[in-house]
Amino acid sequence: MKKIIYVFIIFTVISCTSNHKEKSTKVSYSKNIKIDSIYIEEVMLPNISTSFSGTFEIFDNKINFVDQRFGWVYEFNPNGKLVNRHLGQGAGPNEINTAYLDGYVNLKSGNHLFLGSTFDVHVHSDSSFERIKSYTFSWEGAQDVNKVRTSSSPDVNQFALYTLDYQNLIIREDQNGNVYLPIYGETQYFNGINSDFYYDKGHILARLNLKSGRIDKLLGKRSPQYLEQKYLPHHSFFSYDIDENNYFYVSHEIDSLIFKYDQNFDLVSVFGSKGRNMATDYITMKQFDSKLFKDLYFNKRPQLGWYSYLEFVDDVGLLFRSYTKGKHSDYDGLQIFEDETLIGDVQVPKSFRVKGYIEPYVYGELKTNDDSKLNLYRFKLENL
Amino acid sequence: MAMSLFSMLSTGFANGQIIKEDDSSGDKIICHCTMFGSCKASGSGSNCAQSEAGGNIQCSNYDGNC
Repeated sequence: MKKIIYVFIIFTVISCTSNHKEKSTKVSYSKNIKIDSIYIEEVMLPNISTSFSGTFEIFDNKINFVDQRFGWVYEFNPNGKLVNRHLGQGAGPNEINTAYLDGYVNLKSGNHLFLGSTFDVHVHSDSSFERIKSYTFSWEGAQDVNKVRTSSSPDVNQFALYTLDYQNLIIREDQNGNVYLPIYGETQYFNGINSDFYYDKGHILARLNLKSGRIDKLLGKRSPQYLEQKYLPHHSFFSYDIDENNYFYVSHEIDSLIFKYDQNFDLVSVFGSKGRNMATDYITMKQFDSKLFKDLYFNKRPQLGWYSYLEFVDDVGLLFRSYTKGKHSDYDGLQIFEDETLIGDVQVPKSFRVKGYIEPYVYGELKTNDDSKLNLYRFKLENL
Repeated sequence: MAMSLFSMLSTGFANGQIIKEDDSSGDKIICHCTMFGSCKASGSGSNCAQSEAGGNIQCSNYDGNC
């Protein structure tokens, strides 16, 4: 493989507010390209009975496909051979007792956490998938909900301001056993359509304490870029991951920069690089119009370029960021960062995102609306 | 003129809408429409489903009400 190496480092300084402390943080645009292309191969999977609505998760050398509609978890070996089918909807000890799985995370213990549409949490054991517990998590705040939601000067730390971001329900677990859920606001004075305050101060993650079953803290904030284009509620999503040292990496849909935080969500560093050939002519909204909003989100957004998914793969110490380019392109992009330096920006199939690693392959899936096929791919990392 | 933002804002209770009952009949679940048109326990829009105390509805079954 042709190897192109060049080093391009620019540092700037931006002023950021983190945990109410104003401080300057270095921004790095460091590049040292080691990977200029990857060879992606499809992992052939057997025909299975599935809704095709779901996601692949890689954990402990296993590949699971979680069927959100039917509640099945299909387990494959690294070569795509079907090993077993677990769960399925029902009330039995080895069944999942909810109608639709809005979220899933393979906990570090090996256990499986599923989230339903009614704040229902279902924890099942590692390999037997036997139910350990099911409960409704709690996130009642200290203040009257109606007052919080109708306040023209809301307190951003009040839970009642937020809604779970079901469109973007990336669930992660930190090293301390806390689980994180993306949130957004859609109340009258606190929302993405008419509120500077929402973008400037609003939080983006809720922390769920698994022991207490309660949301105990709200964290993070949106990119300053959102106040440069008023307003982009249909693009105000983000992706994030947590590495083995409890550092959070947050990538906002319209911002080329990646924000790195410590476990207290104090900003540590900012780095990144623009994706290639992205169509970023986003259409702003000046006032709420439900029909326009849905058109921009469901129809226009898929035709544009934006940063779509982050995955930090601890096994190889690399951060992968997927981005879409737009309808003009037959491909999307995948950036690879090593120690906050871009080492690759390669072409990948549309909607590809990295999900994990089983030596010697990095595995990923296509997040498409294709309801006729599961799409699992893998590639090797060369030249590293 | 477009409807003002979230004029359909409901009188939600706890966030989210799992209302603790004083008696022993269990919690009541209220589901709300999100701005994306889904019916969820979390949400600030109009009601799309509601259980009796101790009921066990799944909000996602009522997306059609949004």
